[in-house]
Amino acid sequence: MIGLRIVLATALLGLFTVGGNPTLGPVLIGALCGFSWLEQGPRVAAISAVLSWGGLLLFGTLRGQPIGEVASKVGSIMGVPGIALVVLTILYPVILSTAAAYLAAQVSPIGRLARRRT
Amino acid sequence: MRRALLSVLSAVALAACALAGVRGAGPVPPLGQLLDPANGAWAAARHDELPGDVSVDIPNLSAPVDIRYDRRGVPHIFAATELDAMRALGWASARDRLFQMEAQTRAAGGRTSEWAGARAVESDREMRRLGIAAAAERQLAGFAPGSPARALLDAYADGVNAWIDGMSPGDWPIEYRLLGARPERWSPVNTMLLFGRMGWTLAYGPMEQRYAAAAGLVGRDAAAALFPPHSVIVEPIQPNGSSQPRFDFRPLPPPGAPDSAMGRVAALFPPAQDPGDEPPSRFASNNWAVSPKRTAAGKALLSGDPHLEMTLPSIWYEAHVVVPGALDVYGVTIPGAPGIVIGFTRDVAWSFTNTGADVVDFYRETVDEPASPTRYQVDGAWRALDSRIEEYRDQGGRVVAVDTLRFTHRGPLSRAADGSWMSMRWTVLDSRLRPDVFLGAAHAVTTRAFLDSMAAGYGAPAQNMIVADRGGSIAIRSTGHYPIRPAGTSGVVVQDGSSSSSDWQDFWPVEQYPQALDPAQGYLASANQEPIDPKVNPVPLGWDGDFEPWRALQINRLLRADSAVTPDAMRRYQTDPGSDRADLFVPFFLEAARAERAAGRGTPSLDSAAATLGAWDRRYTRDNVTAALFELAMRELSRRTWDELSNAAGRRVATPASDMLLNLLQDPHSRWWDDRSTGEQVEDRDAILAMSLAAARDSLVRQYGADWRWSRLGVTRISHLLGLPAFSLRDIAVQGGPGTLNPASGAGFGPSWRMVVELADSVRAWGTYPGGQSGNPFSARYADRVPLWAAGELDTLVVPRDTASLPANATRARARLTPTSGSGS
Repeated sequence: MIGLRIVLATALLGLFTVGGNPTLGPVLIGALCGFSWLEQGPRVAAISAVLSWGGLLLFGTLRGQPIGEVASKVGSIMGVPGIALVVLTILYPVILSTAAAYLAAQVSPIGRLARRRT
Repeated sequence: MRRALLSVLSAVALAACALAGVRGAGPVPPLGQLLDPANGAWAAARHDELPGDVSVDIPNLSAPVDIRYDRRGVPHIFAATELDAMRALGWASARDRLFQMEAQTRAAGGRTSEWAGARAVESDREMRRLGIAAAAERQLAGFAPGSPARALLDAYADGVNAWIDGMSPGDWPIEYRLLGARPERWSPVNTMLLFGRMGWTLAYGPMEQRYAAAAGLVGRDAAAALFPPHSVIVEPIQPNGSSQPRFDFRPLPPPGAPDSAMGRVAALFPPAQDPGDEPPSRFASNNWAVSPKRTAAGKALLSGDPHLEMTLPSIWYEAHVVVPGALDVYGVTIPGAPGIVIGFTRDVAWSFTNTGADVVDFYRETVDEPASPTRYQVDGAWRALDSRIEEYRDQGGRVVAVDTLRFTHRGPLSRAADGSWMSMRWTVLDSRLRPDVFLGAAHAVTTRAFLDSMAAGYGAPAQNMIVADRGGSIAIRSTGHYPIRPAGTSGVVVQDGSSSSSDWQDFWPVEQYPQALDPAQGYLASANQEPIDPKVNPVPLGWDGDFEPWRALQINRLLRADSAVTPDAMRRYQTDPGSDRADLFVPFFLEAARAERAAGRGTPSLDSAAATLGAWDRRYTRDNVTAALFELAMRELSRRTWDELSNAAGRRVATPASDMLLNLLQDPHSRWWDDRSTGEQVEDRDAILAMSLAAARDSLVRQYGADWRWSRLGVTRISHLLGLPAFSLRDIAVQGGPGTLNPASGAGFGPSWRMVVELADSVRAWGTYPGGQSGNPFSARYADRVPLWAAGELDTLVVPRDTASLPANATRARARLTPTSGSGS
């Protein structure tokens, strides 16, 4: 079940990102995960963020984009090693979507009900 | 408790990340835009390649346009009308150079704060106070709707905007990601701003400041002698009938008493950049043409070699525009300019060098209210000041500063350091520059027609325009607006603005411009030297003071000695490592070393330096080990000689041209030789020369040990427009040095486009520039021409008459531009 959820979230986040919403996308998808799948939501959101943005990076590399050169040069402009830029690229949607998922799970009426029962 | 803590942490992380993602943090750009793997920095490389074979809709196009990119990435534009061709040129230029186009026009218009924030306001203020933005708007408004000039600007903008409108965020040049900005649509006024920017680069050098600063320290007589209206070395652009240069050496009056009044005038100007040990001859350029009687093939040859700031992307973009039966022009354009600026057709070839001329004057104005004037006085009557509110905005569009700019009938009014008001008259702000001038001139089929076409529409910055035609004619004319000043005044002194008698009376008529057509000597050459022999016409173009005679001596020497010039010889001359400057100075150093030794003041260091210098072949080849010694000795010589021109803080306020140093060498006991720092001791010429030479050697040994190869010292750099090291090239070793035909400098100035054209039945041409066609730092075409350029080699240029003449294997990509539905006529 969780696998299906990850696939769904990954696809949605990929679509949002390609559509030009690199910040709003992870937040919305994360919130959706948290709202819908409660405690599992942050985990689903985090994994889908890694798969989605990592996949897009990999796709660019396979299409011949010089990812290493971009990492090295843009990294040097920002004063960080190239690898740090790659890590940051993966971390950025993970933080956004996981945090959004956690918060959404807290305010979700279903979640509140479940917590009250426990 | 744990849940609450996690909630708070999540909220903080979400807020911080979202804020950094959308707005950025400090110098960090918005991270979302930057890191986005689909459209951000990672995707920048997507824009790397040429279009393959694409079809694009362009508004207002009258018929389809075919763009074929050759193996060198040069777009060959085949269009049905000239306006369509300019739409295509706008599209192609924007496709490769959009960020550069916007960056340059933003800089000219004083709008960089909208990218960089409040820290850029001061540089924006400087640009707006020059009046370039106001002039650009006025110039544009002067073109009636539908006029040829306006139609051209609109057509070009159509093409640029078609590219902008068709971009997805992933196509945005990476610089926009780094700045957190987005591309702005192109306006026709941007082209006028670009021309204004070129005027500022090439024709804004207030001599008033330098003269006043020098006079403030050594008196007016000495300052006037140090910065004379005419060059000491006469090798003019307009041939004077002589087969060798003339040296008009004249004694220099000794340094006089400081003139405090002139010192106060100098203080009116903002502090100038330190002129260094030799005056900055940064924007040197060369061009020459040889008539058929002196070429091996009996065909006219032309060499173009403009020197400008070398940037990545390059200032130039190479293109070929064909409109069957109307236009067939190849060359380089400045991205943003609708036309080929330097290049050739099948009939004529042309190139420019900058004309040394004083085309800016300052006037002290009498105003009604010193704090916030609304009127100024001329001939006893008050006149209203024109005013204009200037707002400076930050990245978010918030107004961060507001200025009121005021204008007299002369030009922009600005407040001097002492609180008084000065206005400025500058030819670049006059509204007579026509943006269609380059396109118009490309229709010429003879040298005379070309020059007349340029003279009719070109005003500033003044350029030595050289041209050759297929019929074997060669010609040159220093075209531009040169002010006729009131009798008895020169452009070197700040004028009294309260009298209309101080105003410029007119501009020189074209007939008076320095010029030559098919001279008997069989060649023409310009290299920023004084255009005309003062004995032929003593009226100066204005007090420039920075005439560079050395390259003119060198190219004239080479051309005089060659009566069977070939295209390859033209190419070799462009990077000839010889130095007439060294030929003239080295004997003085050697003689001084001998004299010092004879007087018992020799040192091992001096002996060693003199021996090295004496064995020098005086060539700036990359493996040469003595060029560095000479250059350092020259710097030492200038520093020690012109010490009187340093102010109390030890900062040089002005440096005479280097031919003035040669002039001074003729007088071994001039008081200028005395080094003030040695107190009672009085030095003469030989002592200063010997000290300079020995000091240069010691300094080299200290800094470089035994390896003084020119390839270690004479390196240049090509910086990215934003100065980003990751996108720049450094330490490029070149053949050539100061005063040679290839004076690429460490400061990043040098040959920006080299071209050789042979005008035969079918035109043949070669060229290259230090960069590449693409502005994308991740493109293979970003700097692919630099190795060839550094080696002094040229590419063969492909000039197809039609699409069929460009075979498929010579075509790298293709774009078909089609009229947007309903827009074609």
